[in-house]
Amino acid sequence: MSAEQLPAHYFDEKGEYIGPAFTARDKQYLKIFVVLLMLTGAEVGLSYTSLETKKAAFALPMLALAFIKFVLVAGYFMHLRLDSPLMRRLFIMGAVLAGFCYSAVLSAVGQFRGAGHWIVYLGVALVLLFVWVFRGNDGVVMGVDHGDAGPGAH
Amino acid sequence: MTAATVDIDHTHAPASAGHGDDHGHHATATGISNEKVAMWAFLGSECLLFGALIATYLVYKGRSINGPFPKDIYDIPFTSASSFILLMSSLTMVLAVSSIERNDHKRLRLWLTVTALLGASFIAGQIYEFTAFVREGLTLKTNLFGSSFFVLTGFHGVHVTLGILMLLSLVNLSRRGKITQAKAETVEIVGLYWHFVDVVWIVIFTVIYLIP
Repeated sequence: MSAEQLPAHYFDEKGEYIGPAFTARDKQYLKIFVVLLMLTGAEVGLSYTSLETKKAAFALPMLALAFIKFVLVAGYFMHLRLDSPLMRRLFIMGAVLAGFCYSAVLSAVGQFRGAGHWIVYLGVALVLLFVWVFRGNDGVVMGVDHGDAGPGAH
Repeated sequence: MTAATVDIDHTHAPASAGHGDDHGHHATATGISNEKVAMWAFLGSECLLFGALIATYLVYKGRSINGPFPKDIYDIPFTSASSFILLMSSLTMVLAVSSIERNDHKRLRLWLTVTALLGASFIAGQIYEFTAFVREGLTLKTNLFGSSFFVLTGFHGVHVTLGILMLLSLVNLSRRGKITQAKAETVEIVGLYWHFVDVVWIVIFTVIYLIP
């Protein structure tokens, strides 16, 4: 990755400090935030329609939306998708272990009886998807790749 | 308009290589700072902690003999507003990390303070919610739902509070000039913790509040 000379501070004609403009990366964060808000709105909307819907059918899209939000925050805000594989594995290990362990416990105490076993299958599918989303991508470490950053980038 | 420039390439070791890496830490066998690895390992273990609390809640919530029950007391619009506040704090936190990477200390302090204030608003909302629930007759001892609900959300609230203290410490350190661009990773590590608290709330909000 090559070194970049990016403008850090801007000054007006009188030499007064203005400060750096938002970078392209900051704009990307803003877009992700808007998506997160929309997903939360969709979740809340679904919860209000829940009274007319069957419990299991209602839970599935809700869990899927929560999963997408989880991946967006972990992947972009926590930079998991750009971070070192070691750190990614540490976090995924905990999340996957927790998912499997407590799904097994809930299944054992009959928590999924009403919804059938497909919530468990969905959980397994989501965990596998989580691992797939954050797979590979070795060598790019957070804070290194600023190729899209800086006012000069847009 | 003139522009001062700064080298933000973190891939190459500074002139002082051998004594430390580009973040001002000692060189490690993995090439990654020990503090960051420790934070990720801690967050991985936190997944298990919150997983246990959420599982306990799910097991107990439908087994209360006496009320109030979840559907009687949850205020979804209010909790949705709290979720919005916490999501927004994640955005401001990531902007704080972005600021210190650009060596912009003024904006770093601004975003850290805004993040802390949003976190404090979330905690204020939680205190209000707890107070309202107690007024409705739900306490830690009322029923299984109350016990598991207060323990789960209380633990999350404690995490948010600790996060606020960390953020305020960062603001203080920055004011005293102790957070340089070379130490941007300190802000990033606190940011990881803060985002994790947000991620946990995403799960709690859906599984506990929204799914009946």
